[in-house]
Amino acid sequence: MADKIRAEVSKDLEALIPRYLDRRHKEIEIFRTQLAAGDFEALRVGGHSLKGSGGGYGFPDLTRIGGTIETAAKAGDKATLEGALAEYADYMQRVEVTFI
Amino acid sequence: MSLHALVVDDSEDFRLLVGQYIAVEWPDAEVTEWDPVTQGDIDDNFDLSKYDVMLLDYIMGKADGLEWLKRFRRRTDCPPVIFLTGAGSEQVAVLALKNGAFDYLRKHDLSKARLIEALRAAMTERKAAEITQRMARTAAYSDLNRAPEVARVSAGDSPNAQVIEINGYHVIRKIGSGGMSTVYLVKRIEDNQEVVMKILDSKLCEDNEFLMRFIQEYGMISKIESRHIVKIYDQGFTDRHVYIAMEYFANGDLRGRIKSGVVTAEVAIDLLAQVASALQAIHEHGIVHRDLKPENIMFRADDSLAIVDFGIAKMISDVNSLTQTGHILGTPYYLSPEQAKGEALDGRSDLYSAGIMLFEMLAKKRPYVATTPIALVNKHISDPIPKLPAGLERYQPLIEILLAKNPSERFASARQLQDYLAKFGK
Repeated sequence: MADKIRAEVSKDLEALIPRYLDRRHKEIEIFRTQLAAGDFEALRVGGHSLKGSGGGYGFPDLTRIGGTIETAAKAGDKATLEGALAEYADYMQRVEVTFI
Repeated sequence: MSLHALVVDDSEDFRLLVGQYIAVEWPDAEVTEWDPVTQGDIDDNFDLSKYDVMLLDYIMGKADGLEWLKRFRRRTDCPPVIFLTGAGSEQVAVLALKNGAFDYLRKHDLSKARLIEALRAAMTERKAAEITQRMARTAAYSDLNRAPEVARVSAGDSPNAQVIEINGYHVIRKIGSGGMSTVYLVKRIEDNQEVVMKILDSKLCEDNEFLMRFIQEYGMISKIESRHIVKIYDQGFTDRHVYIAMEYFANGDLRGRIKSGVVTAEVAIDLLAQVASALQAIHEHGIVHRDLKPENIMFRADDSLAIVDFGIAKMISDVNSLTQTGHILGTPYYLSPEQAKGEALDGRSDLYSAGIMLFEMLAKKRPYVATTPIALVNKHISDPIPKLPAGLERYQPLIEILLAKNPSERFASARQLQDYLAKFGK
């Protein structure tokens, strides 16, 4: 089994985290659908939003992944997008939240 | 201060994040969310005046936050705008500031501390701007509007000195003047209570920075409940002046007591314990005083002491921001080494200043003296901790801890100092 990825999240945000993580899981499928349809604009917007929220919630990796999705979508780079979505899904499987 | 914020961002997650941090800090705050993608443009009919601050994102779907910022800043009802940028967008942040943004925040590494710091600064700026505008709109006061009982105060000694009228107070006498304000002893008419009134010098009322500092003093102290902190009764403004009404101390200050020779070693320790109690209260509110000195320790009629003059006090988060460090403020005799070096501060800086006061109370002289401020500052940074005179050796370990050059070698908190002092005499 792959190692867990520990994310330290402010205790002030504890009430928001279940919903935030649930939306992230659902978003992976949305991104996959958009990629299959070649909707790079939607992926750009989604990646940009993920980039903006991830770090603030305590998930800096999501900011990085979101930035990759945004940049790759702007360039229409399908291969990079597939890699980013795979990393996104892997991260969401492995992330473990610790409230500080 | 309560808060009414407008958050303009196309990310629901980010709007929720900001709203949550605001709700934790200000439970009574109102947060209005605006999603440009689903709600469209904010047009000229949208009333911005009811908001204390706006947080505005840069890229919002197809909307350009910079263009929105330029348009908003042309409006007279626009509150301070905190611009939200993404990773690698430092140029955008600079552009935003040039186009009237009050501050910017990086979304990808946003912390609660940074958000709250920015919001507090924006709220203070908003209040200062409101007061300045109101004073500018009001011409010379009308006799018809004058209340029956008005304190008439001469702002100076010359025959042409400006007259200050503050509703509800009767002036007894001028006490003194400092860097930005003049202080009077006045009587509150409603209950005959003697009160100190601090009035911001009129020439500074048009300067937003000084106004913000003046308002900040009230904002910070009014939150603290401690009998060792000066009570603030009122803050307001007339057509030309801004004032704070605060507690009057009948029994003078610590400077006077040190000079008169009444402070024995035992009394010094007791006074230090009271100062530590006051510091604990302000530090728990995230405030560093930064100007602790005998002149700012006042005594009531029952001989209890209180700390006054929060004119250069700062929220700890403010002190640590990059825009705030690098400026040395405060009286050089009591500056901590980190203050002297212009470094980030926390409550341990006030403990150092308290240590200097303790040394002075015990030894009847200051530990560091010099002929120039720079030389004095260097002594705080580099000179060894002086020894107390003979007969006071038992207090030297306490002095060594309080005056340690490295904050990590001092008491970690005012509470720790209190605990130490509680065991000291036993």
